Amino acid sequence: MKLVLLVAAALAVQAALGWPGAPRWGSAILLPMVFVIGPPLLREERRWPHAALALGLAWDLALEPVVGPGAIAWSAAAVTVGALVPLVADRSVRAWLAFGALGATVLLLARHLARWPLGLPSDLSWRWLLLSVGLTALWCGAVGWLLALDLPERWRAHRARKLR
Amino acid sequence: MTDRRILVVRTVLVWILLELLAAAQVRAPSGDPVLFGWARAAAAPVLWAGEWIGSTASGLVQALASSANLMVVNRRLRVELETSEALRRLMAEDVAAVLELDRLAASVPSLAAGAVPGRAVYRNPNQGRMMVLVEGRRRIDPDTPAIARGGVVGRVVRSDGRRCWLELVTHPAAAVAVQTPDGSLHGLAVGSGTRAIEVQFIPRQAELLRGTELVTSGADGIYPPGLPVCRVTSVRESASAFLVVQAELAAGVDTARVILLLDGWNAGAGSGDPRR
Repeated sequence: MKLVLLVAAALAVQAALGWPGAPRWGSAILLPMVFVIGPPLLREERRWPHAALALGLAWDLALEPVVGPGAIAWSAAAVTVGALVPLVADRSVRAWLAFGALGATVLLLARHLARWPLGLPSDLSWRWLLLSVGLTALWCGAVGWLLALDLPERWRAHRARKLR
Repeated sequence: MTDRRILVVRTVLVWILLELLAAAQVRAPSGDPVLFGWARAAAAPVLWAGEWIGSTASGLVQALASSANLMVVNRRLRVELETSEALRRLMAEDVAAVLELDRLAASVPSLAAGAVPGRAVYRNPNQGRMMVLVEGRRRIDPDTPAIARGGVVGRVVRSDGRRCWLELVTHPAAAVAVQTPDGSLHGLAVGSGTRAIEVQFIPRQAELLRGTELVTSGADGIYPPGLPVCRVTSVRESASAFLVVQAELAAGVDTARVILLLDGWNAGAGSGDPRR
């Protein structure tokens, strides 16, 4: 339930980033990408493509004019990341950065390929691809850094020291 | 198949379904959903193949029908061609027979007026028999002389309607009174049952050369005088008072198409050389 709420919040913020007045680069950040690369990096036993499929359908309903290409793109990113993460032993912030970039690349390309047979216009360009991949990687790296800080544990340790 | 592969296959199938779902939502410029265009594009090869198969089958059926008709026409034309060829041969035979008859009539102008032409339809020179068909049902008297191209072939022994049976000169019982063209030698040409003719009663001192043509003398009362009968092939002496003379028939019995029956020559023509 917590995850669903987090996804919904991420989609809401993602939609807000695309509102008029918001910086154009804001919509280049793929906020839900952390829910795709996070589970395999955190060694959670889940069926990532199915979860990503649901995430993609939600993405389509919230942000896309057509239901389908987003679900394909998000599940494609989840399949790719889920297949490559077990091959890499690194679980550091650097891994979050790298897999965030990989997931964003696969998602944007898969979305472009899924929309191409439908005749829908595509806003994909090399500049936009690099921008989105970079910002999404930074976003995922930031989340990984926060998780690596283990703030709850630090907070509990801080409270324990003050109580002494 | 591992779980990962199953997962990938399922995921790909879901992607296909999602793409189809998206195609059903997007509309083409024509107003129809893109999915309809895809369905038409997917069905087009099948429709084209069905149309091609139908067209091919129709063409094949037409080709078979045309071939059957062609075979029938070909068979009919072949029969007509064979019929025409047979008619052509018959006409050629008739023309040759007419020409032969003209030459034959020209060879005996004084007898041609009352002569009856006939076609030789059966011949057996060894047995000395020949059957002749004449035009119309008319009676031909027995002992009527028969000549062909080259000379005498025999005499009529029986007449029945259009058919006349001849006794050829080669018959063992046939005999023709002959002489040399100048009339210096007289003899009797007798059939031998073969193609050779024996000329009897030629005196031993007579000067008869091989190759000499012998003609009818008219002394037998059957054949008009002057008609070629045979040609001497061998002359030899014997113990008797006569020479042994062998001769070959002057008329082409084997190839004769037309036979001229000199019916009533005694009454009309009288005596003399019929070739004059």
